Amino acid sequence: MITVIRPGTLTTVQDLGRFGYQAWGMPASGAMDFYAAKAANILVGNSTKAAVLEMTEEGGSYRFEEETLVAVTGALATITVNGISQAPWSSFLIPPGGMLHIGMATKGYRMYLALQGGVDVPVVMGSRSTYLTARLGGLEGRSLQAGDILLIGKNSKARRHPISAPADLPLPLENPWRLFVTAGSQEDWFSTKDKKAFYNSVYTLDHELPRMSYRLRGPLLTSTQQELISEPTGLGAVEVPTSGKLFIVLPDHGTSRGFAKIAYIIHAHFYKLAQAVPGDKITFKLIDVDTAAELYRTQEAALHRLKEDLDSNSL
Amino acid sequence: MNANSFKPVLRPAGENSILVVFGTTITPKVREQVCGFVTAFKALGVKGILEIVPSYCSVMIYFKMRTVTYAHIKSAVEKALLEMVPEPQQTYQVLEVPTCYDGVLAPDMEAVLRLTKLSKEKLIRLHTDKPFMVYMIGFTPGFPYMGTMPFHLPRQTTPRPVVPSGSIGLAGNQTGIYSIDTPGEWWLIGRTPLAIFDAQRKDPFLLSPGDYVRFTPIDLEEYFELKDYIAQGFYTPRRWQEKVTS
Repeated sequence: MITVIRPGTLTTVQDLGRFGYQAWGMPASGAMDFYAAKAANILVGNSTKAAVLEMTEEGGSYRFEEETLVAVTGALATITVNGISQAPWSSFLIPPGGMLHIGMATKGYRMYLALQGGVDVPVVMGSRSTYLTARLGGLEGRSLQAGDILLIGKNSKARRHPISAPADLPLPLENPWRLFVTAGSQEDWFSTKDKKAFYNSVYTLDHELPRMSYRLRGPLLTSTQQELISEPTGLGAVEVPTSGKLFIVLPDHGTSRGFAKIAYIIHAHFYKLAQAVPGDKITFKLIDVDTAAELYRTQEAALHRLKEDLDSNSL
Repeated sequence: MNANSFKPVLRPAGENSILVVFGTTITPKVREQVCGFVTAFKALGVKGILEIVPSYCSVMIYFKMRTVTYAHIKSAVEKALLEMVPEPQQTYQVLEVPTCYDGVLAPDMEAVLRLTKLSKEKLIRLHTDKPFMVYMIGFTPGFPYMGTMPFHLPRQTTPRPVVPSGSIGLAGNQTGIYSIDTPGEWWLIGRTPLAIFDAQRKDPFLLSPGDYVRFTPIDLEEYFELKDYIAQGFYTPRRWQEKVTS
């Protein structure tokens, strides 16, 4: 059991998402930086599907009742246990009654806290992810507040010793962020001039970065004035309404939308969106779907190797 | 495939999904194709599918990049397009949605009557005398997009910060039911005490794409009475099957 002493700016329970209900308008939700969330779970011996805490901008303070193995991944921040500094992207033990403090993100934007056994909140429609808009999942469908109590799931088989991730496990945090994209569903609706502007300009992220969609500042793309009948829209879609402004579709976004899409951000680079801070610069580069899938599989393979190494060492 | 002016097209939609588009208009004919394709694709039993999401005129196939390739799914989609037969609905499921069109529950009624130049009686009749088909569910979990009304309304310029769940709205030539409290810009002409979406319920969604909704008028008193019954679990939504008459 842990008690939230201070929750940070926006801390929610997330797993890898709620699938199977998009036809009924239910977005998948789930961790924005799913790579970091999976890594955190592996570091504490959990299944990658276990629920973690996603902390935006600032982590907060948490008191632990029992001895617990935890790991913090994603953005870099000051991490202390009872005042003693701990390394990011590694697991460490918190003693009974211990106080975990995670400060402001110093590089990146979202931290992931995994607890051995996982955050134990009720499963709603197949997932523990918080979907704030519909106030469901997670802890009462909302972000954490001071005084909240979270239960920890059971994982008695798992090892107890702390470990550090290999140095190359964290993905590079950069600004400007170079995002690889594949063609969008209405790419052919845009003029050559608009496409050139899209691929050759630097866009700036808005001052607010909610989990539904990001608004970009930069050259407007106004060549598509056709109306589009709402169609299924996936994670990372770059939508362009007739105003010409650009929006990026994120995990809490509506599942069907009526806006032309010029591109889709690849899954392997989605962590960049999760870790960019307000006002960061981004650029786009077009690649093909096979290269995009290969980049994703490479990241998954690195996580899989870490899991195998840890499993064989603990035997 | 039977003869049709629009040939289905595959459109790109990221490295883990393929979008199949069957038309550019919202018609029962296009819907038959959407349903026929979903049936044919499911019948192939392709491994590694994450989710199949149909919409008005298109179907998105999401797949697991770890286990299957784009080319593999693409050829399965092409196979399903060859094997599919349009599925005209023989019967459809109707859900009764008791709706109060009065007072505070219908804040945009006056504005809609001005825009459409209809009397309130006539508008309510248009909304209640035939069932509406659910073409798509989206916007928020469980929100049904239904059609069609015999007039076309402009979009409201400023969205309301909070539209209460159960609100019945009009937009364009469509009608819809707000499934959760959310900001919204549809014209609100009534409210139902039914919870068309409830994540805690065994069956969270009362409606699926392809179902029909029959609105029935109730007065304010009945609205609050029914809301109480529903809260106490004493009310079972009325559903029935109807045959399609051609």
